[in-house]
Amino acid sequence: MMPKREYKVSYISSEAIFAVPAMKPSKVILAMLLCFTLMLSDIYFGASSKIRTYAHDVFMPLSALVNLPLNLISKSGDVFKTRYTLRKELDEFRIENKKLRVTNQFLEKVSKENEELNRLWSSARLNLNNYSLVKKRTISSNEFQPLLIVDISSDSSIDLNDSLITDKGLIGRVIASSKYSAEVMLLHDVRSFVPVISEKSKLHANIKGGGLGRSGKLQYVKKTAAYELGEKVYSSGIADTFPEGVYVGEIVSIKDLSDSEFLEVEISFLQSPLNQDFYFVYENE
Amino acid sequence: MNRESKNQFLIYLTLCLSLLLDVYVFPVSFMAIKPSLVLLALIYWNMALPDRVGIAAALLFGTLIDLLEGSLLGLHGTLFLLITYMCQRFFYQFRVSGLWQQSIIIFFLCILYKQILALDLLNVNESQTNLSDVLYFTHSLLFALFSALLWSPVLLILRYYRRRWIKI
Repeated sequence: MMPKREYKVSYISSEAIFAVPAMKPSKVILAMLLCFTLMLSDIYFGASSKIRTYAHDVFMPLSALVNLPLNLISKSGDVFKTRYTLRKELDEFRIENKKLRVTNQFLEKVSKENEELNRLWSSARLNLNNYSLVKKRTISSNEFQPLLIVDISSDSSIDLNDSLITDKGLIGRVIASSKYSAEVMLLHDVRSFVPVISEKSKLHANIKGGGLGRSGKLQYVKKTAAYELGEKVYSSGIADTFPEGVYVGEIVSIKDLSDSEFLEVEISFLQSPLNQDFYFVYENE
Repeated sequence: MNRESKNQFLIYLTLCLSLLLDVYVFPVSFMAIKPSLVLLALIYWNMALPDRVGIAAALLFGTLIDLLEGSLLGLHGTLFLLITYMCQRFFYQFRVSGLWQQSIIIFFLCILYKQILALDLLNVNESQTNLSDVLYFTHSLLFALFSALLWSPVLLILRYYRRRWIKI
């Protein structure tokens, strides 16, 4: 017998009407209410930050699956090669293999990573005991609130508001952490504020993020402020959230708009956080 | 595993695969405009088998995206739910339209989707209620365009998959 939900009975002819009914509006409204509750709990109590890092720990094995499609695509090219080409390639590989037998094929990769780590370590100018190394796991595509997830060891002492630093400068700060991962709010995030001081004019201000791929803006800058284009800005250490003297970015635009009582100063952040695999976490003193 | 459970598993499998592709890290310039495969797959299943996909799938995948992407918890759930309801309500009209007509509907749906995602619900900008700017609007248009262009291949692939594997 056909399940009852797959048809209705006409009130006029008592015949079955074979139509799939749309979702019941009452159920949709209930589900919407659930979503609104989730949104309000996130807005007022930051529920997502508490859940998200643990969710990332649960999904950790799945992150390996994410790389699977690209690996498959890169290997699928061999399918379309002719037998002659494959044989030729095989011969070439055999010769190459003889040459490489002495040297470890992973040596280059290891030395590159080692070089990167050395560069990162040599950039550590603050208290060396406060540094710990983390590796990037993933970064979200959310334009206004990009989220960087980094792998941490289960025994690490990484805490909330610790700063994320590379050899080139400041990246963001830790906003949540769990056993194996930490969530980092990037400087590009619209919720991010960084107290900074400019290199030449020595003026204090706050940089607010503008979103991924966009410049940050200095907040509430007086029109008399003497900023210069290309001037570098460093973290000022005010409010003790970020360590003092770490490079943040440089001034790329200064606009004096007639309808605004403040100067519009745009800051280009040091680099895209996507281009880096390793970071330092500086534990605040 | 009975037929009904197997069908559900196969449908959720495509949604999971779409999610995996969605969370893959691409260059920044492409990340902002890459189409949401979960959204397209969800629309397809709502259109093709409206009695097999519903509130649960919309809520589940919406919440998962919120957790993985860092957006406000419940925001994607609400959007997916609304889109699911609209698809189910109008699936008779949508299903019989031509591919290009469906693509146009997807285009406008995606612009709306992106604009709602830019709502300043955390009140980070005191002067305005929406974080959207010229760059974001351009990204929204490109996102909608790519989604509309991708709709035909997604539909054809999922239709083949449904006919081949899902037995009603």
